[in-house]
Amino acid sequence: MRNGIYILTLTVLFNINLIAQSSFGFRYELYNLNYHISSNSVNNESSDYNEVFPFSFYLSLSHQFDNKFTITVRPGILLAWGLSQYNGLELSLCAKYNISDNFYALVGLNLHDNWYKIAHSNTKYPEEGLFQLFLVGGGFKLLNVASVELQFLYPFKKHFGNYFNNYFNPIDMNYIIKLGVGLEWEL
Amino acid sequence: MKEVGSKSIHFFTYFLTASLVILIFNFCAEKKPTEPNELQTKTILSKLGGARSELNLSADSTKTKDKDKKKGGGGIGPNLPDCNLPLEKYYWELEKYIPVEGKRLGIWFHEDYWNNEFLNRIRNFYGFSLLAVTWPSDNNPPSNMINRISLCESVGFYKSTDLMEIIDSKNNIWVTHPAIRDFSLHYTDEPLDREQSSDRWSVQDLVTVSNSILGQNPTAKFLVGTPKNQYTVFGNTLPDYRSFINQTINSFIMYTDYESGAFNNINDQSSCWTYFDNYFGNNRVITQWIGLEEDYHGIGDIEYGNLLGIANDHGYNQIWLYAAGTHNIDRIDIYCGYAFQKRWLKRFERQYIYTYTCFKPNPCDCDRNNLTDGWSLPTKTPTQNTRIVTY
Repeated sequence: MRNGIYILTLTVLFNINLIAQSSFGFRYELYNLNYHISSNSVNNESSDYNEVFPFSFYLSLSHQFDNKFTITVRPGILLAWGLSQYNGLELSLCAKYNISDNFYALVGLNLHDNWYKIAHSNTKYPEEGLFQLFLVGGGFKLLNVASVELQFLYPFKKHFGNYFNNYFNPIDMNYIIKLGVGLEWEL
Repeated sequence: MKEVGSKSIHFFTYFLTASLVILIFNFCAEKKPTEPNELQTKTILSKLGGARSELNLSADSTKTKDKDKKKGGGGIGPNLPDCNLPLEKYYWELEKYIPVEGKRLGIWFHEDYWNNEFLNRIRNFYGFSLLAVTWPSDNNPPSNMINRISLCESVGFYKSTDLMEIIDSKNNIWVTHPAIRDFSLHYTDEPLDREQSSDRWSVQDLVTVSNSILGQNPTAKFLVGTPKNQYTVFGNTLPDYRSFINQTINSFIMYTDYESGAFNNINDQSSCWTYFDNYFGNNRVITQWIGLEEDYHGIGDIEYGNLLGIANDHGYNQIWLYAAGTHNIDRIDIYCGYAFQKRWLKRFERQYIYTYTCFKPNPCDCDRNNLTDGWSLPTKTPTQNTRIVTY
């Protein structure tokens, strides 16, 4: 599955580069991870947590079909190191719809390859594997090359790690909210 | 004729003398013990019938008892084995590991193994002399914890010297409780780094607990673990841990990750051990964790031995095995094998007699030098001979 994603990414990158009205850029995204820890210890209660993490970078490759529709592919990496058990390579496949000259809506799929070793320690047991998240959002264009974007990501598979304090306490993702800025230039 | 007669007498005398000499040599040769192979010898402490003595022993400790010479005959020739007698071989076998003087192995194992049988094996077979005692999930009131401590004591652990209480939560501090205050060691995992923020400690929390422990038992130690290291990019809590360590006199730090590098991409945490020694001071880093699961990367890539050797280099006299999150407890055998090689454990061995019977119609057809040639599976008989082997 993972190899398939890498091949798909390379194929899309290759094809986009061959098509006119394509653009290339990079993005930085600040993300808020909302998760739930189900406590198996009498000393702690189950509850939801919100953490903001500052490190996710992406390349972006887009192809504009007409004035309204654009497809965009964003391979990148999301890292929180030991601060969270959600770390790994990502690939977003999105369709953008231009609502006006400056605003656009976004819908797509985010694929996340969660890593184990980067965050594992005595209290952290991440779940290794591929996660799919439904992505919806909107953005605002600044000048011709920049944009500010807000995304909401909802996971199809929620369980991404375990908090261990003598007992395994499952950690499930509720959602991710991302605030990103991007620069993109026509090829 | 006279000359011929004289020569004959001389020849006969020489022949008689030579025969006598050969006979004497043969007699002595039969009783001569096997020479030990100096290249393979290891110093062992032998315990034979209650008497302890130092002796050299060949690495190949097996021997075949040759009853035939004593019985004399019954075979094809007078000096050949009695085919009807079973074949006996002697082997030294591991009975248990015992700690090397001044060195202690500790273990924190999975909750599922809290039973008398496993605890007994940990203490009295594997030779662990330190044990992490975790709180049962229904720990309030602590009656089940008290039962757990009794279980540990029943297999030979002493609360005041051998047990380490795992403080699983800042909401579960019992260090002043009569059942807990005698513990020589208390430990908490990653208190400043916990993902569940409601369970995250502050430096002041740590100082308070440390002082409480000190107030109960002046010799007790408070150990804390952190996964942060010299490569940490975000959320480095090491300065906070150092602040806590500097505010207390009975606290010590351990590293709770099992890799190193910016992406945890280096399968060896020993550089972080060195960093901790320098960052916190040698006297505040007295032991470290080795991961039963985490430091086993498959056959041919097992880090136990290397890390135990490095622990020796650091001068640690105790090292802890982290097995709390795994069911692969068969790897403890491998770990103890390495601990023997790195002089953390000694082998207590007993000599066994393996007795084989020939299955062939004519017992003389079984080759006594080839155990696959028609011999039965052996019956094992323990002897009173034991020895303690150091690597």
